[in-house]
Amino acid sequence: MKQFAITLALWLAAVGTARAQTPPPFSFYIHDTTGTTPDTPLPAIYQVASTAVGNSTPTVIKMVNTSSNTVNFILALVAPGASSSARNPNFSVTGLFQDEILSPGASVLYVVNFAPAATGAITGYFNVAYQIEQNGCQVGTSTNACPGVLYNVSTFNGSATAPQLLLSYQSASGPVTLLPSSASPLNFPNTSLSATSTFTFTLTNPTTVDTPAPAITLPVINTNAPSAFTLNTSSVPATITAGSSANFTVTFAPSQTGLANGVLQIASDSFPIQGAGIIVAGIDALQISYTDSTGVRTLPQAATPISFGQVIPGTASSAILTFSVTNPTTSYNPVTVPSITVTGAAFTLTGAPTSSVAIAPGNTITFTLSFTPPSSGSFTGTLAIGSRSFILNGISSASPIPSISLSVGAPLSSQQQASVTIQLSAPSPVSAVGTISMAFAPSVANVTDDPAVAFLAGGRELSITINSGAQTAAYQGQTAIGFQTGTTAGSITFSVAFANAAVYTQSFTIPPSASQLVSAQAIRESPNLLVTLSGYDNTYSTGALSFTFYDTTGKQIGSPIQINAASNFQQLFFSNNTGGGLFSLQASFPVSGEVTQVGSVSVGLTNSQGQSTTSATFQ
Amino acid sequence: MKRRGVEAWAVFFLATVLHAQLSVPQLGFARFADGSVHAIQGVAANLIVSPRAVATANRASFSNAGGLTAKNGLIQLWDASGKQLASYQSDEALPLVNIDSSLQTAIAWLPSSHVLLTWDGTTLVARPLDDAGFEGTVTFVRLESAAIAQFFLVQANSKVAKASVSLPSGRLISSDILPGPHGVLFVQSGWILSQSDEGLVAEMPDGYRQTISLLRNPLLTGDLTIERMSTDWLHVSSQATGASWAIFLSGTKLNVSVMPHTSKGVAR
Repeated sequence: MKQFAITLALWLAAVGTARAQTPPPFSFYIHDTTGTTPDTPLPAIYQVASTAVGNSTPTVIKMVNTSSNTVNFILALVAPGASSSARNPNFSVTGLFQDEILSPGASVLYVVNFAPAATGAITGYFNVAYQIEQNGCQVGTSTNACPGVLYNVSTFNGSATAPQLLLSYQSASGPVTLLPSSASPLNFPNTSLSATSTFTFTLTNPTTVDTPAPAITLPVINTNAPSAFTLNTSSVPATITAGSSANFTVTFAPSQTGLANGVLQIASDSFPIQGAGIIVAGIDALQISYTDSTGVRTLPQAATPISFGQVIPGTASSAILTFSVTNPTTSYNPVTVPSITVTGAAFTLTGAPTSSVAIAPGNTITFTLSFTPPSSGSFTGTLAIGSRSFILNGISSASPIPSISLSVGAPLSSQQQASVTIQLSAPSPVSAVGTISMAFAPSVANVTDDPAVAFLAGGRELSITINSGAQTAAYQGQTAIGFQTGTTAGSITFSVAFANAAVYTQSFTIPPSASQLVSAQAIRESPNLLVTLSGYDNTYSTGALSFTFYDTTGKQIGSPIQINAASNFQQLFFSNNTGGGLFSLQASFPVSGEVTQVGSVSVGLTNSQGQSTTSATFQ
Repeated sequence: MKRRGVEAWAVFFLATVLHAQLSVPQLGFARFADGSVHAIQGVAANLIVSPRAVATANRASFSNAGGLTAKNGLIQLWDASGKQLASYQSDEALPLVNIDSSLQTAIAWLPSSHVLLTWDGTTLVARPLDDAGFEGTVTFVRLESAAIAQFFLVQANSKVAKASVSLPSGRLISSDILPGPHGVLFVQSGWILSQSDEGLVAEMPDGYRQTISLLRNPLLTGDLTIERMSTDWLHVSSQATGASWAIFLSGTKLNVSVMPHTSKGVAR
């Protein structure tokens, strides 16, 4: 065609051309060569069917000379422009006869092929060149030659998709091509719970262009049930070259009887697969399950590794799964398990029989498997229950944040606004975001909390940051994180957590103390004397009150008035307590006589830790 | 006589009844950054902010006897039990309100109309002021007596003036330039509170001055807001940082506690 294009250009140069947009002597139709559908006029803009790179979509064009003149049809082509005689490489025109003389009413068929070279939207301009005998000119002569005309017939729009690959597998009767989203899944053979069945699949690139290998996955279809299928794509190259193929395998490795379903996903195409696990050997009859620390029970499949998740190395933490091996009552005979073993340095078997064990129908044996990695990294192992084996895996990931310690300065006591500092043993090599939380455990019986114990920034949990190179963590830039100690004896436990690091906790004790009187006010309101006290008792045990009055000269008036207020304080502290050990006490003393002669009062409060006193002058 | 009196006192005291006389100490009410007003319980260094707001306001002042709040121009007087005693609808977005102690000390200043509101026992009475000799921006107002209102004004030269105005006549009685503080924020129990770069400056009547370093960084001019939580407690807040403090100020005693943030937001 390149040769033809050159010829066309030379010819147009020789006879002279006109870029005409006046109606040509032709009518154009889309033609069905099977005759099933009638010809339809070719529209000015024609949408070609989406076509994969490497493939071709033909459009048969019927061109009819509808003029009353003889026309020399020179050629048709799809060009990059409406007035261009160059060829668009994504299109070709075939079945064309050059220099076809068409008398009035004659027609010709040819094919416009959309054969994209790259993905994306592609536009081509369908142009025809011709000469028409009119005004005394003649085609085929050089003395009175008819001028050549180049006419834009239609604009062809096409969408080029990625090259298509064909998926097949090798059956006993030969290769079978699979169609995506088929209603009928590909069936693996019934497989013993002690065995596996493997299909080899082939991806073929039948096109003339290289194509990247598509994503091949077995998506999880039930997050609560491990898959009985496993995929191996290690032989699939990154690119499947034109005309070549690549193999991968899907293995059906059931550990539970019954039907198992799966989906083989290749790019956006889904291929349903299924298989049935069956009992063949005696040990297949055993039902195997495991339970994690949260009580979730899982029925494992040999195809899917049993994951112990992620743990932190160097700590006492470990992931533990408890396995049950049951001989169901539907079995007639005991099933003998010759051995239960585990491989892999990070995995430890506990409680399993050390020798062959026969499990009677209806009986179960249990054992635990723990994952305690010695260092950071990924660990794998194998659990073998007789001939039935399971792959084990777990991850151990350690945070690079140096070890943590907490400091609150001086020992804590009640009624403090103190601060806690999070210290690192060395400058942090990384920046990190974590949390500090506080919990309060009262040491007073039947008391569960004190609402005043909280961070001054609000609540009991704050987000903290560590900057790279810093040796202290900070809350909003503050390394001293303020908090209140409340008015209840007990202990405050801070917990500092960063990702992949063991939670660091440290407790600080708030010791019990004698009642503390923060303020005292004495007022004469004849005929009463009012004494108002504010304070707290962090033991919630105040009982005895003592009031000693003095005259204005300082001389004691009578004997101290003793009051057992234990029940009053108990009601305050243990009925809808909203203030911890706080109290405000107002005592009214009715008197007869001149209240102005009373000068001051001394008040004593006694709780389980001792007595405290204060005094106030009457106002 | 003295001997007889002492002998008589010995039998005058009756047994006290403590039932219903024990409670959690109530410190007052504080207005937070979102305008919500919360009850504050506790003692110094042990403050408990009630989780539920009792009101919302643009300005608030509370004493042990009641409170004065302003919201969208509506000024309301409350008694200690939370009962509304009077209200006054003004056009003032941010009036100055203050109540030192008894309900009779309630006073509000409407700067755009130069009107004072006082409580006559029944209603909030509007008292227009004679503008003569009244120069500067009012930063604090209080009732000096039943008939005299006391203003603190910042004048154009940054000097602070204390002015006394007759309530019956609305005329200026006296005006004095204060030698020390700049930009008076609050007057409490004889103390004058103002702001400096270093923090909150508290000056006693005898001239003794104390600076309370509230923040590590220098304060921005006009950053602090002070509102009365109760007769003896003030709520100081920094608009720039959101930090706030509860200050006990009575007689010669001054005590500063950090105000815990509410769960909804920072105190301001």
